[in-house]
Amino acid sequence: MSGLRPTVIAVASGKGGTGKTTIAVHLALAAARSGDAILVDLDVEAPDVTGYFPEACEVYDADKTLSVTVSVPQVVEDRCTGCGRCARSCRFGAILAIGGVVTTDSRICKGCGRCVVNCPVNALTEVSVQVGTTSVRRAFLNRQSETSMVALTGTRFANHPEGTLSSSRVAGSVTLCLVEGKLAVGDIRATAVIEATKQRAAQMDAVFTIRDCPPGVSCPATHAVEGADYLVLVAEPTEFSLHDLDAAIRLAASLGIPTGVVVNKDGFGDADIDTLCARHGIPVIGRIAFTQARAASGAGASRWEGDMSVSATMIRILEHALKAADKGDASW
Amino acid sequence: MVTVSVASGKGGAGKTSIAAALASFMTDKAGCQCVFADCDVDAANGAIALGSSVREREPYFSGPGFMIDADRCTGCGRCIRSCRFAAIRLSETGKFCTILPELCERCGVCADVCLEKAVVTCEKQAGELFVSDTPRGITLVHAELEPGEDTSGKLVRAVRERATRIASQADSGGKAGMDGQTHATILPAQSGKDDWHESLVVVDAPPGIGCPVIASLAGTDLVLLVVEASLSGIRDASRLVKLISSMGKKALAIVNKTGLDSRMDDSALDMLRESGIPLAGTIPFDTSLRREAGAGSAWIGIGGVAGTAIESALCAVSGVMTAMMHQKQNESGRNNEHEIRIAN
Repeated sequence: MSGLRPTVIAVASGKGGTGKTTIAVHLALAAARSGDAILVDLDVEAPDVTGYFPEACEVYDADKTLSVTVSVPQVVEDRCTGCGRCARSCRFGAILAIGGVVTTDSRICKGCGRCVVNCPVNALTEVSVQVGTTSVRRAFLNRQSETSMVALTGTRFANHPEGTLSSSRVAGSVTLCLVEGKLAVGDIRATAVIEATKQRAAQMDAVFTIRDCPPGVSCPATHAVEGADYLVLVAEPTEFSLHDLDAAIRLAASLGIPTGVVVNKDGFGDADIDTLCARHGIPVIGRIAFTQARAASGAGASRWEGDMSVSATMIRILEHALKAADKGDASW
Repeated sequence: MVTVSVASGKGGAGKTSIAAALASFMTDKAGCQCVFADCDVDAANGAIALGSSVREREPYFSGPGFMIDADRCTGCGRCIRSCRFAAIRLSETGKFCTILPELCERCGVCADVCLEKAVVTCEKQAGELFVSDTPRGITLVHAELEPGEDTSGKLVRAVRERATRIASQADSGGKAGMDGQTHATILPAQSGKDDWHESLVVVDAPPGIGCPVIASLAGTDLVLLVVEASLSGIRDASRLVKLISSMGKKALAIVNKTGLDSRMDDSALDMLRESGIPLAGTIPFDTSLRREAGAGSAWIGIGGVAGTAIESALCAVSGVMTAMMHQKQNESGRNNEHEIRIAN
């Protein structure tokens, strides 16, 4: 029954603008046609997945949009002796104790609670501040418009109870759930929003979870990729992308997640992605050729539906990811 | 010193290429002394765009992290319950706890609650900071963050501080007219370019609107907003516009990659009009720019429709920057007179 294990595929890149969101959207479309799938936007500073699904509507549950909060300290003036232990314990510089007066800065507090633990007179209480939101939307897709993943469905879902699979289907169409995390403008606690979004996605118990991750290789990207079964790195053949892909591959190695590279905008530049991948022992698992038409439709965030070569590539990428995720380790 | 930050919200909108072009334009055409602060420390491409040779390098430490000494740990789980980030797990044997560095925020609450003093600090190098020379004479300050390290905001501040120090040394060197003590950190003397005493810092900001972006925009005189003419580009830029206005910053915009979808071109311009951000120019999507970006030309003097559009946009930005420099120069001139009067 190992084939029934839910699979989480993260799509990341190092460099921004290589096509992470586009690839994540199309992987999710392919996955949704084979099993129930969710697409999770973890690029919480710049969430753009919903732009590809203008027809998607928010789910009707009362809790469709949820606040993401962190607990920040508040000084109870009567009890505070001004000893300053809280300020000395804070690693983020969010508490100042000057001349026996303690002030907290809720904008930079990470909500770790260390100050509360360290206060000898219980003079700190906690209040919630909102740092962002999570939301769930549903998009209904035309089932017939794409090749279905026959091979994939055959191997992976041979024994799958039909009930679970069909739960996401309406006659003749397929539903794709979009989970979006959004950081409040001006806030710095992106990782709190990412973790809350991951949690909300995990509760949905989908067979396929596709995560659209933020660019870069530091905290937001690490949190977004963490816990995934497979990592798809999207690169373009430019010098900038080559440099940033190298860092992203090293991040993947340090997290121990099996990884494959998709070359997007193939032919757009002449940087040698293949040699870099070979050097790290990472397979190139798909290529999408650059064409002016694809660039133009990408600008408007139109989906490349009916582009058979793209759908075929997506199915190959998914198959590769599932195989590698099942083995637990593909590349190193 | 005048500081301009180039930011876009969306990644891949053309920030780095435009920032490099701006620094090159201001150096070549306006005769400025320029420092380029590459604050996209996760994906530092300024060195590729400008071509560079490293002059100085120093290790970057982000502060200690924490780990659990398995020999001392009894597996009581107090640390697990205290951790708000779910970054501590019990080992499979149940005998000891381990910290997952990828989730750890390094707050240290686990160390406070541990009865066995099993939580110990560990420090490793988180990256490296570089000061480099470029063929155009622009001083490049950049950094490489070790993949998976947090605190990129802190490294951004380190890059900004170093760039500001170099630029202000150049300023005071220029004003005092003494160049005797030329340290490695002082800008190379540029003959015939002494008309400006105010140097220019160009900050290449990372994508997004989070902590490293805020660190890249703080204290800057002008934000050059790069809007990619795509749905995602416009969405992300409008979130950045909210951040810029909440920080009370002046901004100017360039719309990049126009001509792919005319609806997007229009809606980018509409967004800017509604936000009250003046337009410096638009740059068409042109695959030949791709080749130029990595070639160290920094898009200056490349000709063609796109090349002309770039220079005309930069000319507009340069006009605004020059006005700011004049203003600063006048202010510092007045301050000097004031100081002299006090001294007398």
